[in-house]
Amino acid sequence: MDNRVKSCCAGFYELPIVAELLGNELHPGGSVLTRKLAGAALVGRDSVVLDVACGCGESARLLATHFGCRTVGVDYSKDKIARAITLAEEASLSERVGFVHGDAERLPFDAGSFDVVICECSLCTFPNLAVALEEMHRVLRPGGRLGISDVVLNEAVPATLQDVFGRALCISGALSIDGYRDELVSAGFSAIRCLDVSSALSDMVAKIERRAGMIGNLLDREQIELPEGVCVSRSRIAEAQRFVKARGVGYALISGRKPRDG
Amino acid sequence: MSPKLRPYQFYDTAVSICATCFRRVDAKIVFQDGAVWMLKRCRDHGARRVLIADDIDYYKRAREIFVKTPEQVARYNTPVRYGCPYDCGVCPDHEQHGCTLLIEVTDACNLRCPTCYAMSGPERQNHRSLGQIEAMLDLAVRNEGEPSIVQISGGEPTIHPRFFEIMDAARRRPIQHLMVNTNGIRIANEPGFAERLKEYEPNLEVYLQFDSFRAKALKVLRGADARRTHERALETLNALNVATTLVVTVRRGVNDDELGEIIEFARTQTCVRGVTFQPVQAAGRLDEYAGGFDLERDRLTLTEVRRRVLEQSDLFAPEDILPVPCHADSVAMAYALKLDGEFVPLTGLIDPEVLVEGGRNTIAYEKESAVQAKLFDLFSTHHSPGTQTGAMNDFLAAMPASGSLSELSYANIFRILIVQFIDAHSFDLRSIRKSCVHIVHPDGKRAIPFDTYNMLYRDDLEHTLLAEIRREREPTKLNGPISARVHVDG
Repeated sequence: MDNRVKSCCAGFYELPIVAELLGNELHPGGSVLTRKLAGAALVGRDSVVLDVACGCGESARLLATHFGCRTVGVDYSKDKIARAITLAEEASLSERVGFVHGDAERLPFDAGSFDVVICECSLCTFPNLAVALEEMHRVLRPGGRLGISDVVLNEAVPATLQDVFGRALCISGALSIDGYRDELVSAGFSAIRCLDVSSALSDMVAKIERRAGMIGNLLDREQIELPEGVCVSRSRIAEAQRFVKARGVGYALISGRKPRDG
Repeated sequence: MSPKLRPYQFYDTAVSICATCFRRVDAKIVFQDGAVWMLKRCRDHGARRVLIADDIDYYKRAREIFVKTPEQVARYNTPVRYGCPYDCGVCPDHEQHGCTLLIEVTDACNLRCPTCYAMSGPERQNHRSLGQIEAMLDLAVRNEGEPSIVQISGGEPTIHPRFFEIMDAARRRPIQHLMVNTNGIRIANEPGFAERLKEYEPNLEVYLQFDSFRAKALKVLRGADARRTHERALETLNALNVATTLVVTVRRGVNDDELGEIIEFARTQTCVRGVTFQPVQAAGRLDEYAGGFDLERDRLTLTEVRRRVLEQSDLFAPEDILPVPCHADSVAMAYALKLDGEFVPLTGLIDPEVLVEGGRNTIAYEKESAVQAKLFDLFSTHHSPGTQTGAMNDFLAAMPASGSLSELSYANIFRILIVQFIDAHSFDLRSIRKSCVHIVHPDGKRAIPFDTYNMLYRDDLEHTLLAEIRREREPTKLNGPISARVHVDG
């Protein structure tokens, strides 16, 4: 069950139609928020950074060029990893950016390997979030920083959004700020800070709404059928946007530190 | 064929000076490998690449967001003749008044620190006369009206034989806040000395040298193990609760791993209102560095110090340590409220989006612009501590649910300041024009930015190095700033 969801979720983002809907921005806030997250996690020129659920490595490449650090990306999709390796080569970044296929709940790295671990808009899609956080804690060096960006859920998800589509948009599995805080504490993190960046989420849904409208109009149809029984319709996106605007759901940057003596 | 690309992103051109001959050279600012670099080339001394900041986003934010209309001195001291930085005085082309004015009352010191930018020491026994010091104080008042901060400095000012007469002379003038920049030896060793200092309260602050907890680091920075002095000086200052700032000269590889520990220590000291971190300026006794001053090994930039503070202490988050708009390149600041032993980072109380994104966030901007204005107000270093509390009260009054915090005093403020002085390596004319720490020249006629004073004006430099450069340059006939007509008081 768990493996099916993981591969389904990772596979979902590989669909051309999904890429079309999201544009180049695979998570709310895009590269601006990635830089902010890296700043919150104190990524510097000397850092060795792990990006969990790295996709095709956009953030890994950005971090290497903008922060001058070394970055390793890990993702559950082998195709994405292959693509990420190609893109890094094309950008002449292979010396500073590497990619490994792997499971966030069983990271293929030794304990204490990284100065910083980041995970963008993915934590809440992992079937076992607690295990994933423990793994991130394990691979960090003592004093190392964790930076999470993710959807924050302030109210229960409406029944009509409770499906794979909701999960793919990272809504169904999301926690409240306090929920994330508790999970980070349980995994052994301290110095936890949360930054509300909810406007990034409503901007993103608005963008999807525009793009879905364009695709729908082009094909002259009301809804776009995706595999796994997911369909995107204007009314469903509008419903998601209403939920965002009513602050039922938001977006946050959450950072923490592995204790220096741990 | 793949396109030919630069190995960097080009950001801006700049005017710098050669670190060898101090002549003006063309430069550019580029982003590469996660850092901001200055590339420059001197006709005679070749090309150089200098690290300016190790945090591109912070650097850009300081330059592009924290922009403020410059406040000017009441009277300019020198005309524009040879071009920046060869006219310092303050000249009409300078873009900031003096937030802090230093009065160096003596060149003598009871230490001989290898890192001293002023090359003070026991062998230099020339104390300035009281008359000369009064003229220097008068210049400070003439430039600033009511100077925000005047710092009695040196040398070691407390060993001036007429130290308390100097303090009296300062107190007779409309100076808002008086600081004594000291190594603490006299406070530690002489019974009754601190008690006499305390008589100058309120508006008095001890600016106490405090670099390290380790004998080895202190030997490198000060040539002496100052731990016992620190301990006894703070014991006395705590007992009397004399407002004190710990001043940490930070040198890469020597004490830059102790910043968090120093902040934690400072929090437990009754008298301590904050910590100021100053990375060493490449000036003064450069021959004391093993093998000479080494850019890579010895220089430390503001953003590197900021990063270390954030790494080593949990008191402040990145959004709490912000550029100070009057000289955003060189000064960063964070405030916390100290309430019943609890520390609340003040800048963390407001939505950082408001500060950082400002006008871009159109929904919140209208609503929050008042708060933003208050914060800019609060963050100007030209606020002396007396008015700081006022600005902070105004600021908190604009915040919801903060009514209970209306009765604050300076004792409730804990401040982290990072001050990076520009040296010949990092010299950027754009930035040097905003220098707001001025040293009053012993001639009592000029106030010269700290940064350029140590490069070109201190002691004989003006008559040797600077005189030679001036001879080569064609003096301008236009006596005034580039863009406006201003009265010059020569």
